[in-house]
Amino acid sequence: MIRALGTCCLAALLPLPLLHADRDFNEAVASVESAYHVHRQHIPLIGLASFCTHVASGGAIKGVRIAVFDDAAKLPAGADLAALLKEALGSQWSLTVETRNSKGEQDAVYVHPHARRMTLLIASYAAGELSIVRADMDAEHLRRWMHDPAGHARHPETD
Amino acid sequence: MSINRIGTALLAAAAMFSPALRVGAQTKCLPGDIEKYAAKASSRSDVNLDRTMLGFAGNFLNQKDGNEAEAKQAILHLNAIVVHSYEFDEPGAYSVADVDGIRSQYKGPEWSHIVSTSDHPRGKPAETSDIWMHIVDGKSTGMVILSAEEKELSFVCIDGVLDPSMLSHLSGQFGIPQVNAPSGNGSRKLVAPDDNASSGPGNRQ
Repeated sequence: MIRALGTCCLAALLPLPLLHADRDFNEAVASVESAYHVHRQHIPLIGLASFCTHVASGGAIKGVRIAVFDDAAKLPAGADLAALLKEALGSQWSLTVETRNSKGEQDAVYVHPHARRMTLLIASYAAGELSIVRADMDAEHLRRWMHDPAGHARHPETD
Repeated sequence: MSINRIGTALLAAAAMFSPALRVGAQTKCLPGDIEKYAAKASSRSDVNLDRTMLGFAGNFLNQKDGNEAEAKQAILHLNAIVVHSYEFDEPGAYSVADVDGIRSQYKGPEWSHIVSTSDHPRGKPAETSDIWMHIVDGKSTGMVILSAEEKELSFVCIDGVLDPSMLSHLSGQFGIPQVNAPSGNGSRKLVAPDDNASSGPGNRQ
């Protein structure tokens, strides 16, 4: 009972956008697995890597999730990652960047803006490898970090 | 698991927030038959930034940097920036008539053809750039840029109130190609917009 209450409290502390983005990421991964008959690989310590990214970026980037798929050497002819993800993600996500070439390689960047933050979902297929990355970014923190990565990591609250 | 792929994806995420972002939102000012070029392209990039995205991207522009501060001011009045860029393996993927056909779509009374340049690299077909401004009640409400090179075709549509002088600040950012003022030297020349029938992208098809 205590544990259940603790879990509920922890869940309540998580930002709602992140919970939604988590759900959307899982939907995106599931739709790719189902449409292309590929399987997501288990990546050890990805949670730790996400935490390190959060710290190293001075809080600018958080909630990084990565899915890499095996068996993706050849996607079906006419595979359209951007269209597939559009169905999985819903109307709150906007397709912002889409690239593709004659080799079948393609990238799609979907964005879900919040008040001061933005969640990105990037799907990339190239050289027989398919991956999906999600990250939640804070515009102001990220701008400062990009202009002075070392300084901002040491003093995240100062410009 | 491929570390390279993850690295690439993370770099793409970082690039997404770069001021040099390559950006595409459906707007009314793109040519109607744009998809026919996409079908022939060996590589295509589409960028769509709607008002929300532009506002957010503006957060990445440094208010203390003169050019970026001007760009930040410029995007406050924009509804969307759309860029479609196509690269072709071989010359001849589109013809002079194709480009003229695109130009003819911006001939209504609300369109003003403000720039038409033609560059003639030695031994290569001409490279052309055109800029049209959409004007309603004397105010600019949008801009279209068409750039035709031997193996590349790019369209940019800027939807919103835009002072033409601001184009130089947006140039090279948000996926908008670098727009260089005609220098007058070499073979590059500024041609009168009405003469553009003879300034097509060269001997294609």
